[in-house]
Amino acid sequence: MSDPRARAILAIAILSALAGRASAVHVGEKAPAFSLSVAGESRRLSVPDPAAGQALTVVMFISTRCPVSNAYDVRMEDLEKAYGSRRVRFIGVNSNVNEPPAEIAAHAREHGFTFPVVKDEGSRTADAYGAQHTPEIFVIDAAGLLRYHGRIDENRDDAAAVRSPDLRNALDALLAGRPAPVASTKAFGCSIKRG
Amino acid sequence: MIGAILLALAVSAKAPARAPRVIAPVAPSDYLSAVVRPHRGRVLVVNFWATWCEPCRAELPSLAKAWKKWRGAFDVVLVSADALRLKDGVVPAVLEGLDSPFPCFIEASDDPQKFIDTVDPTWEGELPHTVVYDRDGKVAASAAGLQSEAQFEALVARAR
Repeated sequence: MSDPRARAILAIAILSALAGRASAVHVGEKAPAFSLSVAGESRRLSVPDPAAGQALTVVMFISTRCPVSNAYDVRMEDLEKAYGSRRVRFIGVNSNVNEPPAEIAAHAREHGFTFPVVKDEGSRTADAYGAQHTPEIFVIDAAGLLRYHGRIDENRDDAAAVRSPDLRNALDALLAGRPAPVASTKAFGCSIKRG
Repeated sequence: MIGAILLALAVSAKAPARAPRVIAPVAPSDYLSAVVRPHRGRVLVVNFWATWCEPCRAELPSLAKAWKKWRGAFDVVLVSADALRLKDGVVPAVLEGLDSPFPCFIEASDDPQKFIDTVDPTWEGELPHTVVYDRDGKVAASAAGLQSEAQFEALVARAR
């Protein structure tokens, strides 16, 4: 490949393919620490946060505009209601460059989220976790280790028809001191819009 | 399965100027036989998309431009990740609106993970996603996220 234009095109393709994939964290590894501002507020949240005294932290990469993420808005809130009192901390993370903090705060209010949603400027936290799409979930234990990564469940279209509630299964097992029955899952979702 | 075979026969060998907007279901177990193998001997671009995916809709015209620029020197097949119930309504309507010249399958499985892992075990499921196969039907390149016309050309160049 001696043509400089062809080389440039190839370089674009390789960089594109590698974008955001370099620093993924895997189940069993230490989850990356972060400290981000709650969208529309001045307070910051940190992970890990030993003072919070939680058994598990659920980091949820979400979006205001992605129809798949929005299909899970009610389910995410239901999960927070079901597990929030069981020492499970839920944090939404918005890493999309095209969704500003004011929009994120308004979206959270409209949907009655009781969990905070933080703004990940520059998508640096998404890069550190290797998060690729919304919604994408990472469950971290009290020791800061990643214990579950993947989807909420397999059925984005119909919450009543879910057959594989993977996140619930993982939380139930981890709270009982057992490993997640399936620690890594996948589903279709909207790609995170990086700058 | 019969629909998938008919669609594969219709789009194999030479890319048509305007393929019929038949949306054929494809199960994970049929992906290679229905989507990839009919194009052996030609470079094939498989573009995974969904009607709800904004960058997917945005990049389809770029893919069509690259395909026209290369005068159909490679084949393109779309695979929709939409719900199967949208096969005859929303999916063809969106393709019509985008003036897509490409044939389209729709993912048909009881669990999306089966399909994702069948296509590419390193793929997390984000859309859009593009996989390029060489003339032997082997993966030559893949790319996640929105691609420009030049990026599609670069991907195809890696398979030629």
